[in-house]
Amino acid sequence: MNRRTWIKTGAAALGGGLMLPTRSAAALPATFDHEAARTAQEHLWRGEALPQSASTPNTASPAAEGGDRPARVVTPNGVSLTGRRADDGAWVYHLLAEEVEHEYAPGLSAFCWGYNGRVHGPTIEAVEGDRVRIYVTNRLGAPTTVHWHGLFLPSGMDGVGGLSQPPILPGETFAYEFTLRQHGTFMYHSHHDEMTQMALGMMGLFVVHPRRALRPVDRDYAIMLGEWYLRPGTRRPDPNAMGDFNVLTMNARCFPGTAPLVAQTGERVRIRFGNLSAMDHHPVHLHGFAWRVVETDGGVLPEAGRWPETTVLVPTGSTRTVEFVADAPGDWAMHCHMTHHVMNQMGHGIPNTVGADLGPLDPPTRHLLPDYMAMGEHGMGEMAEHIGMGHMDVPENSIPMVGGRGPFGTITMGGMFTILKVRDRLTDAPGWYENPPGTVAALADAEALARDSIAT
Amino acid sequence: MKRCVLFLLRVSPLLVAAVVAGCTSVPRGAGFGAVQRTVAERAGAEVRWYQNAALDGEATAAVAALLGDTLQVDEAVQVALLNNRRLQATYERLSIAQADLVQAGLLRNPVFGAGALWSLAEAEPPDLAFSVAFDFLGLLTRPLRRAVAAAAFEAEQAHVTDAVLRIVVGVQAAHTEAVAAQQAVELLTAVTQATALSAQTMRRLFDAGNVTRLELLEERALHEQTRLDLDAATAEGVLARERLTRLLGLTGPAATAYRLPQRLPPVPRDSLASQARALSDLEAEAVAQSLALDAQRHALDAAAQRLGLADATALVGDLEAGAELEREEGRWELGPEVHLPLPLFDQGQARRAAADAEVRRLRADYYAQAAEVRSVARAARERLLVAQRRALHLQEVVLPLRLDITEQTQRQYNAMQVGTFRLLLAKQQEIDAARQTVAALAAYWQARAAVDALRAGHLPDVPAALSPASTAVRAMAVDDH
Repeated sequence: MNRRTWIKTGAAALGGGLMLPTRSAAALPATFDHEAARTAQEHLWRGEALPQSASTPNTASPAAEGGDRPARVVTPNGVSLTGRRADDGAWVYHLLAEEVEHEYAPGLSAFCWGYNGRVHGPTIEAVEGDRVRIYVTNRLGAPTTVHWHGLFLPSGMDGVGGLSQPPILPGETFAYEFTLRQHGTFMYHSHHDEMTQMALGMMGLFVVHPRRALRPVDRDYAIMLGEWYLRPGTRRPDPNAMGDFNVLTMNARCFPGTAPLVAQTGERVRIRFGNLSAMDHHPVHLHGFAWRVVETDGGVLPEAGRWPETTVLVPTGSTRTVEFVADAPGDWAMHCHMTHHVMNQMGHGIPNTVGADLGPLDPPTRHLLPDYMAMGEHGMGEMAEHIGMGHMDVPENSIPMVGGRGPFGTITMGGMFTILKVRDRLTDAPGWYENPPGTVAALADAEALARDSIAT
Repeated sequence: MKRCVLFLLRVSPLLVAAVVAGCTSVPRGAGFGAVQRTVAERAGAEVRWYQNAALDGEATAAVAALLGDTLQVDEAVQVALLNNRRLQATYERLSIAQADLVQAGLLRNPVFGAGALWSLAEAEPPDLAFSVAFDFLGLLTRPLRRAVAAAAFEAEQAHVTDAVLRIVVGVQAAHTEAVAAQQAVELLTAVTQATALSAQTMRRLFDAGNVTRLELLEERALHEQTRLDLDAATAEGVLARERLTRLLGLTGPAATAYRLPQRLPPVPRDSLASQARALSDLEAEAVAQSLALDAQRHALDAAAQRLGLADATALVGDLEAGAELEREEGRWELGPEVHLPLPLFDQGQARRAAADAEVRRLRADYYAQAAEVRSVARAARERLLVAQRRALHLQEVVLPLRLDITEQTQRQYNAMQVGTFRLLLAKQQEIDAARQTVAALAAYWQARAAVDALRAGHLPDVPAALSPASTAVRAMAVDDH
C-alpha cells in the first residue's frame, strides 16, 4: 500500500469513526444521548445522586483512540492519540477540526468546535526525538490553523495564520511536520481567529515523553483548564464573552461531570495542567497533600527550584506539571481556588439578597407568580436545597450552579472541581470513601462541650 | 246647540260628512305594533310602551329578573328597551303623529254668527241675523291632507324604530366599555401589586444593607406612578358604568347593584376571509334596511302630497261656505252665503314654490343620506375587519408569547440568572399585553355592534379613531442589580 492510500484508510481509524463534513447539528456525531442528558438534568436539579457511571467513570487506565503504541497519560474524560508509524519512520497523526456537540456535565451540552469528534481535542502523546507528521483536516465553515504551543519547530510549522502559513480553508487538509526536540507538557490550539475558535474549544494537550523516564510515576494525569460563556437556555458558547465566563472546565467538563482521579495509597502521582482559558489564570488547589511543581511548558525545573505548594497557579497560555505521593487515603477535593470558578452557569446580574428577609413577600408574590420563591437570603447553597425540596422548572440545557450529591449531602461545588480518590485497595468503581470511625467531623455532644468549656 | 246641529243637518249633506268626519277620537298606541315587530325582527328584543306612564307589572318583573343575574350584553339591551324613560318619551312622538293624522281628517269647526239690530228711533223688536259658515274647501282637500299626515306618520314610525336601535347599539357599546373598564381596573390592580412587591423587596434589600437609597427611591417612584394609573382607571370604570346605567334607565339601589360579566367574550376564531365574505353585502344591506332612508322616503312622499295640496288651495285659500238666517221686520229669510277670497294678490305662488322647494330639498337630502349610509357601511366593514385582525393577533399570538416569556423568566429566575425585579417586570409586561388585548376586544365588539346596527337599519356614529389607543407600555428601566 502506498502512502496516499494509507493516509486515506488510516484517517478513519485515526479520526475515531468516519464522519462527513457537517455544519448542522442534526448530522453531528451520535455520541450525545439527549434522553440520558435530560434524565440526568432532572436528577441534578432535584439534588439526587447520579447513576454511578455518569459521575464516576473509571480513570484508572489510559485510553488511546487509535495508534500504534499504548497511551501512557490518563486524560480524565478524554483520550490520547499516540500516532501510527509511517513507512518513512515518521509518526503520523490526523486531527479533524469540526463542530461537535459536547457535554460539559449531564444535562448541559453545546455545539462546540473540537477535533476528532471531541472537545477538547485528544491528548497527543509522542516521544522526544520523534519525527511527527500531523495532518489537519478542516471540516469547519471557517479557515483555521493549528499552533503547537511551546514546541521548538521551524517557523513555518508554527501555525500562526497569515504569519507562518496561509490558513487552512474549509475542506482542505494541511500537513505539519517537525522533529520533537523537547520533552514535557505542551499544548496545541487554533491560531486563526483564536478568540472565536478557542472560545469554542479548539485546543488540546501535547505530551512529549522523554526518551528515558526521568521520574517514573504510577499515575500520569493530564488536565486542560478552560472557560466558556454558555447562558442557561442556550446551546452554543458565546465567544464574545470577556469577563462573564460561567462554565469553568477541566478537560471541558464541569463538576459534577468531571471524572475523578484515582490512586492507590503510596503511589507517585503526576498531574499535568495546561491552561488555555481566554482571560483567567487558575490557582488549582489539592486538598490533603502538598505537591511540587516539576515542569512548565518551558522545561524541567531544577531540583533546587521546586518548592512545595498546595496550590499551583496555572497562568493562561502555560502548563504546570506537579508531582506528589498519594500517601493518605480518602476522597480529596481538587479545584480552582477562585470561588467563582467552582460554580456552574452562575448569574452575575442578580440583586444581592443575602441577609434580606424576603420570605414574608412570598405569599403575595405567589398570587402573581405561582412558582415564585425568594432565593439567596442565605447565600447560594440554598439553591440546591430549594431544588431538593421539589421540582423547579429551569431553562432547557442548564444545570444548577452547584451540586453534586456527596456521601454527606450536596457538594456545593461546580465548575473546576474534581475529586482525587486515594484507596488502599483500588477497585474499578471506588465509590465514596469510608472514613475510619472517629475521623469524621460531627456534631459536638453536650458532654464534650461542657468538658472543654465551650459556650455556644 | 243640538237644535242647531239638527237644523244644520237639514241644511247640507256636505255638513253631514263634515260632522261625521269631525267627531273622531284619537286611538292610543297606534303604529307601535309595527315598531315592535321591526325591533323584534332586527334586534331580537322586545319593546313596550307604557301608556299609563308606569311600568306594567309584567315588565317590572322582567327587568328585575334580568338584573338579578349577571347582566350580559343582550340582557342589558332588553333592560334598556323596557326601562329607558327617554325611549318612552320617544314613543309619544308616535302619539303626536297619530293626533296629527286625526287632525288632518277633521274639518275646521263651523263658525256660528248671530247679530241683532235695534232701531234707535222707535221701540221695535230688533232685527236678528244668524249665520253658520264652515270651511268648505277643507272638505275637498281632506283626502290630500290625510295622505300628507299618513306619510308623516309613517316617517315618524321609522324615526321611532331608529331611536330604539340607537339605544340598542348605544347599550352594546356602553356595556362593552364598562366591562373593559372593569377588566382594566383588575389588570392595573395586578400591575400595582407587582410594583408594590418590587418596592417592598427593594425595601428589604435596603434594610439588609444590599442596595442604595437611590435604587430604593426609584423603585418606590415606579410604584407610586402605577398607583396613579390605577386610580385613573378606577374612576374611568365608574364613568363607563354610569354611561351604561343612564341608558338602562336605572335609578335607586338598582343603579349601583347590577353585576357585569368579568370578561369580554373572546373574538370568535372564524377566519378573516370568511368574515370578509360575510361582510361583502353590508353596503347593499345597510341601504336596503336603512330606517333613516325609509323615514326620508315617507317625508318626501308627504312633501309631494303637500305640493298637490298647495295646488288645490292655491287660488282659493279659504273657501268658506255657509248659510245665513235673518229676521228682518218680523220675517225670517234664509239664504246661502259664500266668502270667496279674490286671488288678486296671493295666488298661492309662494306656497307652491315653498312646497316645491321642500320636495327638492328632501330629495337632495335623501341622496346625500344614501351616499352616507354606503360610506359608513364601508367604513364599518373595514373597522370590524381590522379590529378582528388586531384582537385575534393579540389573543392568539402576542398574549401567549408574553405568557411564555413570563414562564421562561421564572425558569431563569429559578436558575438564579435573573432577579426578582426582572421577574416581576416580565409579569407586568404580560399584564400590559393583557390590557392591550382587552382594549382590542372592546374595539372588536363595538365594531361588531356598529355592523349589526347597520344591518338592522340604524346608522351608527363613526368614531374618528380606529380604536381607543392602547396605553403604551410604560418604559420601565428596571435595573436588575
